[in-house]
Amino acid sequence: MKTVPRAARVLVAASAFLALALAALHLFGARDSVSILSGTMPAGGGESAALGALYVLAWFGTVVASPPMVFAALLLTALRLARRGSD
Amino acid sequence: MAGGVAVRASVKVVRRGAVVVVALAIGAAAWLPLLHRFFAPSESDVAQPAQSVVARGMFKEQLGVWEDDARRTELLARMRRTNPEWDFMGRTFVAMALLNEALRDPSSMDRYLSVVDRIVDDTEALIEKHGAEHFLLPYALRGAWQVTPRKSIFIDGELAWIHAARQLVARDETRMPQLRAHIDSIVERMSEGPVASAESYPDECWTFCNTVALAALRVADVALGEDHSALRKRWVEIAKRRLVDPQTGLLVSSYRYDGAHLDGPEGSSIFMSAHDLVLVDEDFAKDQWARAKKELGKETLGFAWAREWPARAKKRGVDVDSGPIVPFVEASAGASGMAVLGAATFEDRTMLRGLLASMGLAAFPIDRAGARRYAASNQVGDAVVLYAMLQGPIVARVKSGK
Repeated sequence: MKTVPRAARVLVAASAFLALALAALHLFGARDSVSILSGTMPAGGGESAALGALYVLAWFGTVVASPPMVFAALLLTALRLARRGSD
Repeated sequence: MAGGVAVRASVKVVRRGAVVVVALAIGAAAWLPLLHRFFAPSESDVAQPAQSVVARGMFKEQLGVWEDDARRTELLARMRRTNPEWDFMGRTFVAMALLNEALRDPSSMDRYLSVVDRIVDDTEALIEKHGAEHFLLPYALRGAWQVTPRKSIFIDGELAWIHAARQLVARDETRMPQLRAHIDSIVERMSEGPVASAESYPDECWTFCNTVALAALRVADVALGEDHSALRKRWVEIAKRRLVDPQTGLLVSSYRYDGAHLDGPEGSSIFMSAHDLVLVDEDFAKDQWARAKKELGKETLGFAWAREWPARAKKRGVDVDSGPIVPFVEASAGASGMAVLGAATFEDRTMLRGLLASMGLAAFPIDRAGARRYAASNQVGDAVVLYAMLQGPIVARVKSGK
């Protein structure tokens, strides 16, 4: 039996993917393109708007969803370790 | 036997899934109440909004926009593609922010007044050249205006507000005729109206515009030494009887020239109207703020936002005033921006802290060289928040009567 449960590994991988996506989009300047949220087309037009929409998803994924996912992964791993200790 | 194995495997999968869901729920329960701490403004920023990091950064940004012709032209052109009103309102809120700041910082008054004068001159010149329709939605030219020649209180009210505040800050006789013309137009049209209101669009009176005009009259009264209190009183009396929504007690957003209701209360309108009413009837203003906060304001986990429509109102689609609406929580970008003005005006620090935290999380601030703008917003959205943070000195001067 592996120490880190599969579900925990998936959660951490998903969090890492979101964070990396956010970093890449940020470096690509996508934060500037989220003005579509106020109904205003960004300077770069439709392509920029699409990048902006991806940035919004990556941002909320990283800031709101990722920490609970990492916390859950730690909890699942701790449970696995506790169960192994009690066996 | 194989079936028994399969059932046991299924139970195991479901149990593991349930454990993951519970772990995620515990993680969310631990994280979400902490999240606001990363975006909330400091206590001193909330106590003194005008000195806050947000206000100072936004002030530098907006001043920069109006001192850089190429940048301003590009920003305004992008907004105008969605709504030409935003171009006009962005000018108004920046000018009013600058006039408040001129009183707060007299050493920079000349610089700020020169930008205000440039804004006004440019705006009046565009109206002279293209007509007021330059700043109105296309249907201004389609319907039948009840009072002719057509004139929009949206335009007269906001320009009168700026001109009057400008004269209050520093008298300039060369600009007095413009103030006189806007005030005379407001007084004439509102006095003639059956519900003491003038049209913003054909047979459409907007509470937002009429309350701005009333506030402008009060500022002008102090600046010019006149008295239009009877008109203001008449509007409030009529509004309390005929222009409030029976379910919520909130002022409706728009109505026919004869007073028949069109749109019900809206967050993008009522917070501004409550702010304006401080200079018209302070008790009514406080009443409208309290009702608007109750019906439209939401606070949870250290964040705050505003809905565009009361929960018990008939469901409506997104429009140009509401801006996009976040599903489930029904947060409206337009209403939430205006709620900052309400919270700052009525010194509701809890709401203001929550709204600024929400902006930190969901409006995507960009700080460059000490200047701040919100990437999710646009020039008018930023100008509204800037004005919200800087307002105060003009109202105080008007109340003092000096």
